[in-house]
Amino acid sequence: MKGVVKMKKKRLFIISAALLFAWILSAVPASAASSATATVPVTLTVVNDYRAVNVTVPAALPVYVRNGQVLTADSARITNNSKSGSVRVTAVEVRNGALKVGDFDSFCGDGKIALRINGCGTRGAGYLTLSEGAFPTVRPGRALDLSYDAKVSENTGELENVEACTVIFTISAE
Amino acid sequence: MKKTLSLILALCMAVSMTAIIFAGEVTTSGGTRTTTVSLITTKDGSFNGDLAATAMSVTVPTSFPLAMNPQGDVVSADNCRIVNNSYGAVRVRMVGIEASSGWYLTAFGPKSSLASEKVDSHKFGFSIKLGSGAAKTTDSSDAGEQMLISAPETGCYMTGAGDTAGNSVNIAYSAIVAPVSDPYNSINIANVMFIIEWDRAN
Repeated sequence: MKGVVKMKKKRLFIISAALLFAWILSAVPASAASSATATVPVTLTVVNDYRAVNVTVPAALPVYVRNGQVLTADSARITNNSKSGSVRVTAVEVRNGALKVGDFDSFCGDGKIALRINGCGTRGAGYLTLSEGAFPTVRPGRALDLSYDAKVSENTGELENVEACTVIFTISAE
Repeated sequence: MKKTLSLILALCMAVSMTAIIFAGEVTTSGGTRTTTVSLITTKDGSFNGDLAATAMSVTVPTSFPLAMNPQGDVVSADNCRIVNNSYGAVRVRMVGIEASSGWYLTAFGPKSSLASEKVDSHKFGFSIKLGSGAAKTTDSSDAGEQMLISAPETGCYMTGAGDTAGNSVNIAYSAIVAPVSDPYNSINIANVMFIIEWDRAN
């Protein structure tokens, strides 16, 4: 009988000890996160004034050949319509069209055309060599007159409104 | 026996639910008794709430905006800062930068240092300065990620929110960007990563 009581007391002691231990454990502080990570994006905005460029170039550079005499328009111009910001012609390229582009200064051959724009003559298809001052800066609201001459081979026959060649102006903001 | 066991269990429950103040008895003149000061940190500040440490709350900028004009001059925001809203002091442990896809880090310096770069090479150099610390800049290594601050140093430390004079650090940043042929509107060219930690006593 004493043994049974002793066993019960022992069991009771174990249960009490376990409960006490559990209570003690519940008082240990929980560990919290000690650092945090934050990511910040770097954003780039490129403000490009080229968007504001508003330039009018001639729709065509007409060339008339009548009785062997070449006539060109005298009203061609490049107009800077921007209210602010100057522009400048930085390159002029002449590409072959219905006629091949020849050398203006030593013009010869059949089926050819040569141009000289603001004093800068073609040497064949490709970019003109722009002389200094030929295409000065065009200020806002101003226009740059285009003075051009042409030479056309005599044996081109009768042509009407053909695209003899193409002139590409590259215009950049100053 | 069952009554005794029930009594013990009830006692354990009662003890675990309440703050206990044991009275110490002094029975002799001039006798001493030591009273412990105990602390429990809980979410609601009560003696029986869920345990919780001091909450960290730090605000970092949402972005580092850069604006570049056609001449290559880059402007950055001048009001970026890190603010510690926590009760405890914090510090910046690390700052790193990672270039976004298609963009490449290069050495920071004057914009003329990028004069020989091809247009649309998408290279940029970055500089960042925390508080009174030294400016940290990207180098010329081709790594997509670079460490700018690897350990806390001057400028990285912030007091708790209670000290409004010291609980924030200003961020001064700048960049140089290689020429681009197209305009961009707030594209993401990199991410700057901050690791903030408690400014511990040990």
